[in-house]
This record gives sequence, C-alpha cells and structure tokens, in this order.
Amino acid sequence: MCFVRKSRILRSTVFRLAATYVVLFAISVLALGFVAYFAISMTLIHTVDAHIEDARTALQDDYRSGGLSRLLVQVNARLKDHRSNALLYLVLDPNGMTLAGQLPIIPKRSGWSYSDYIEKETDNDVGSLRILLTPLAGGVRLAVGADLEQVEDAKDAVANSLLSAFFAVVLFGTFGGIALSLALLRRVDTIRLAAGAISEGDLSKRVPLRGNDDDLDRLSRTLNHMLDRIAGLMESVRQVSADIAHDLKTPLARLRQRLEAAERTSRSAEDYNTAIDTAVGNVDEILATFSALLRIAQIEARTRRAGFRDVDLSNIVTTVVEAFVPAAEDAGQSLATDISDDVHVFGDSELLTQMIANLVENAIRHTPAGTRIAVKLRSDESGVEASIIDNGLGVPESERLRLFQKFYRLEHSRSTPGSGLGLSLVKAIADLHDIAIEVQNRKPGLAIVLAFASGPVRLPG
Amino acid sequence: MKLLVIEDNTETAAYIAKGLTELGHVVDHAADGRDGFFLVGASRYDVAIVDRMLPSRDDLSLVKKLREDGVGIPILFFTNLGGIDDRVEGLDSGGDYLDKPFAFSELLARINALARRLAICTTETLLRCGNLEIDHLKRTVTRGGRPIDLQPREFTVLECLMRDAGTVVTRAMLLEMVWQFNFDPKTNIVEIHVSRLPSKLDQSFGTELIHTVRGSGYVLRAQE
Repeated sequence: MCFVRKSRILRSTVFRLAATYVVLFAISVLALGFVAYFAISMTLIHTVDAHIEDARTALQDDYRSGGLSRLLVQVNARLKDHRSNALLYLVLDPNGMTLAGQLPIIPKRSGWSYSDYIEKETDNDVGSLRILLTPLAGGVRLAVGADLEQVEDAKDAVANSLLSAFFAVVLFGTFGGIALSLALLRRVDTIRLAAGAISEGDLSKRVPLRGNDDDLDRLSRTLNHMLDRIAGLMESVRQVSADIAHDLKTPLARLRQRLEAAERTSRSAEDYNTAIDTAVGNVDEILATFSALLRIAQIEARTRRAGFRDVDLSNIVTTVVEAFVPAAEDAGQSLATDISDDVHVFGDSELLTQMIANLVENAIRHTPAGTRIAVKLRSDESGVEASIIDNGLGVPESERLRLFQKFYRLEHSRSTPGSGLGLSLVKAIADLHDIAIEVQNRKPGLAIVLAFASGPVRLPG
Repeated sequence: MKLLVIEDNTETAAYIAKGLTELGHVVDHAADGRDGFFLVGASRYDVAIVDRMLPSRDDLSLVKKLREDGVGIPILFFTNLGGIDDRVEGLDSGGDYLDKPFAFSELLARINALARRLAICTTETLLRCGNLEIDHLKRTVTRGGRPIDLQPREFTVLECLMRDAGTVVTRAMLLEMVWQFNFDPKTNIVEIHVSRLPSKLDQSFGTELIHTVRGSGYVLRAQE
C-alpha cells in the first residue's frame, strides 16, 4: 500500500511539475552562484591590487625625492607595521641582491604576477601571493606583494554559502513538491471517488467543494453542473418513456376496443368499412405521435446544422400566415401580420417553417372565437425577433414555463386533439437555431417571442 | 405503367406489388440495390420506388449511378417515419419522398405525379382542362374565355391540380408544393383553401371541376 502510494506520488502530474521546477531552479541558483562567486573574487583582487599600487606609488615618490637611502628607510618602517592586511616588500640592487624586505619568491619579470609558495613555518600550506615588480632608476627593483590568504578565505566563505543555498533549494523543492502532490492527490482522489460512485449508479452523488473558488473547485463545480444536466436528461428520458407508454397505450387500447366491437356488432360490409376507416384514422394519430417524437430526437441530435444556409424568414412567415388565415377566419378569429421585408437568418428553412406553423397553429387552436392573433417579424441592430401574440385565454402563471415540455398539455386543452408535442418540436427547433423563446403572459392572452441569436444575415450587394 | 420496387422487406414489397398490380400496373421487385440496378439496366421503367435502408448497395450511390448512366428514371424514395435526415442530396425534380409507413392512396398519387411530370414538358406555360385555362407566366385564369380573379396562393393550388389533372393530388402533396410544408399540420388548411376555389371557378358554369377523393385528396377533372 505504502509502495503503491509512493509510486502514485511519483507519477502524479503535480509531483512531476514540482520536480521539473526544482531542477530548473537548482540550475538557476547554480548559475547565479557561479556569477556571484567570480564577481566577488574579481572585486577582492582589484581591492588588493589598488592597495599594492598605492604603496608602490608612495615608495616610488620616496625614491625619486630621497634616493635609495630614503626608500630603504621607508620600506623598513613599513615592514614593522604588523597590521593584518600589511603588505610585503622587497628591494633588490641591480645585481639581484636583497637590500631590504623579504618575499618567499622573487618574480623574474616586472609588472603583475601571481605566485604560489609553500609556507615552511606552518603545515606546508600552499600560500598565494600577488606581486607587483617595478624597476626603478639606477637598476634598483621594488617588489610590493600581498598575501592572498584572506581573499581565498573570503572566496571559500562565498562558495560555501552558495552551495548551502543550493542544497537548501533542492531539499525544500523536493519536500515541497511531495507535500503539494500529496495535497493535490487527496483532492483529485475525492473527485475520482465521487465520479466512481456516479459511474456505479449513484447519480445523486456530487463532488464536494472547498468553497475557495480555486481551479479545482471550479473544475468540481463544472463537473457538478454536468452531473446535474445528466441527471436532468435521465429524468426526462424516464419521464418521456412513461409519457410515451401512457400516451400511446390509451389510443392503442381504444383502437383495440373498437376493432373488437366492430367484429362483434358489425352486420354489413358498410359497417366493417366504417370500422376500418376509424381504425386507420386511429393508427395515423399514433403514427403522428411517433413521427413527432422521432423528429424531435433527430433535431436534438443537431446533425441538421450542417445543412444550414441563408433563409428568407420574411417569406417563410408570410407563407405560413397565408396558409392559416382561412383557418383562423373559419374559427372566428383574426390573424394580422406586421412582417418586415427581407429578414434573412441562417438556418434550416423546412424546420423554421414548421416552427412558425406550429406556433401560429397553436395560437389558433387554443384560443376562443373572437381572439385577435398577431404575427410580427422585425430585424434591427439587436437582432431578429419574431413574435406570435394573442389576446386569448393565456396560460396560468404556474404552467407558463412548462409549456415546452414533451407531452405537456393544459388541462383545458386535453379535450382538443393533438399529441402535446407541437411545442416540444418548436423548442427543439429553436434550440437547434440558438433561438431564445420567451413566453409572456399578457393578461389577457399570450405572447411567444423568438429572439434569433444568429442575427440577421446581410446579403451581399 | 411499368414500375420497379426496390425494397428489402418482402412483406412490404409484396403489399406494394399486389396493390399496384390490381390497378393494372406491371411491377418488378428487387430485394437489394444491386438487383435493382441490373433490372433498371435491362428494361425501361416509368417509376422506381426505392427504400431508404437497402442492403448490398447504398441507396444513395444507387441514385447517383442511375443518374450518371443517363437513366432519367423518376424515383420515389421511402423515408423513415419523421425522417428529416433522410432527404437525398442531389435528388432533383425527378424524385419525390414518402414517409414510411404510408397510405396506399398517397403512394399511388405520388407515383402518378412522378410519371406524369416526366411525360409532360415541365416548361409548358399554358395548362388546359376542359374550358379552364391557366397561363403559368402571366398567372391568369380563364374559364370559357371569362377571366377569373384568384389570389396568388389560390392560383398555386389550382396550378398544382391542373398539372396533374385527371389524377389524384393528395393533401400532403399540396402542402409540400404550395406552402413547402414537409409536415402535416393538425389544422385542415388544405381543405379550407381548396374549398374556396369552387365558388370562384364554378360560378354560373354549373359543372364542378375539383372533386374530393375521400381520405386521399383532390382531382381536377372536366366532365365530358
């Protein structure tokens, strides 16, 4: 178990990210260390060099003004100074003999040089010297030097602290990475467990939220939204199956009764013909319900979007209204229009025709005689809007939002024939076209407003 | 007429063949697209009735092949119930659709219409039936030389009936041709529109031109 856990940490994304980050950070710290180390070394040497040069210039001046004797006096005086950062001096005569001072090594060339020497009096440590050899007038040579031991000590101290920092970075990075991975793994595990439970069939399960709105919380919320949607779909599938069973069982049962009754009571060929005609009519009604359900399912599959093209909506609405005007007149209603010309949208003309037809037909069929129905279509900067408005009975406020559910029918319209799928079809077509449907209670009457999201299509030219 | 039924369901095929044979048509049946294709190549048919879910050769490629080979045979396509996705791209004027399951009268009317559409020149501008004449271009109607004033939609309804004069035009066909409704509204809008025509057409002539065929549709016929 422990091993499994360890290998899971190693394989976890966040651990890999942390590890990569630690490596990158260590490399940067190392690079930074090298740069700092060399910069500090250079500065230290420059300080030493400046110090040596100052002494050399002073002694040169002494030699020029007071000759060799003054130089030797000054050098001997400086040699007695035993401050820690004291310099080393050496004066040589033209034959190379020492006149004053002492250096462990005598440089051969004039100018700057480094020399390593073995410190005899201590434990054979290797010392390092910085020497400036200056030829003076009359063949006399002056060497000024400094022991670099302090410089080396300082460099070592810098190197050590940089190395410690490097190891600290690696150590903190690694442990931090593991800790982060563990924390994240724990949260991912809660999501995974919730998802697992849902896969097992517990659709009510949701991913717990922490409430701090971080990215994992947001991911969890998105997952929960998705689960709500799935649960909703499952519920509607269950609902629709139940509705189909009910709405088809009733007419099928009626059909069966009629056929049986016809068999028992029919006396003549005419009786049989009447019974058969009625039965065919019943079957057609059932088929119409099936057809509407299949159509809705096909529309909801959204494959029709591939065939979308520019559609003259003004033309469609005008044609539909023209088709229904006589029917409205026969029902004692008036059907008025206010349709802007040349309103184009992107869509499926067959489905848009059916959508408008269903809405107009619905307004005619579910309002009493004397109702005024108006169909409007307009297009402006805010988009295309079609509305079907009547001053009929309206719908109770509580039922308003349920109008577009499958098989939903108002109690008072149960008596009029129809599958209760007309508005569901409208909803499916509207969803396919990204059309927002708004149902407004106008007291009296009802307004159904279709707002086209795609906006008007501008024709070239 | 000589008809070809390409349909893999033998029961449906037998039902169609029996019905059509009883009406005096000659019917051949092919159980799949390949057989159908051979039959079309072997003899001349007035109309082919093709099911949408054929095995062996995809019905779409069958249509394409028939079109490519220059066999201008009109095709009546069976689509599935509610089948809005079953329409065939590129099936032009020489084709029609019928939702399955269908009423036999609907099938018959569509076969007749397809056969007629091929027989008469579709660009004909002047249509005549008895003493009724309509001019497709000028959009005028006269009966016995007297002009009759019709609204544009009424003219289109009459024109559809005139084109198929003598044969039944069903409600569904009128819905498709006049209003581009590929669905069946619950309101009887076709009946209401057609019922307004006779008062305009038959006034003072006494003889009816438009006859209702019960449970099926309408036929325009001049009584001799």
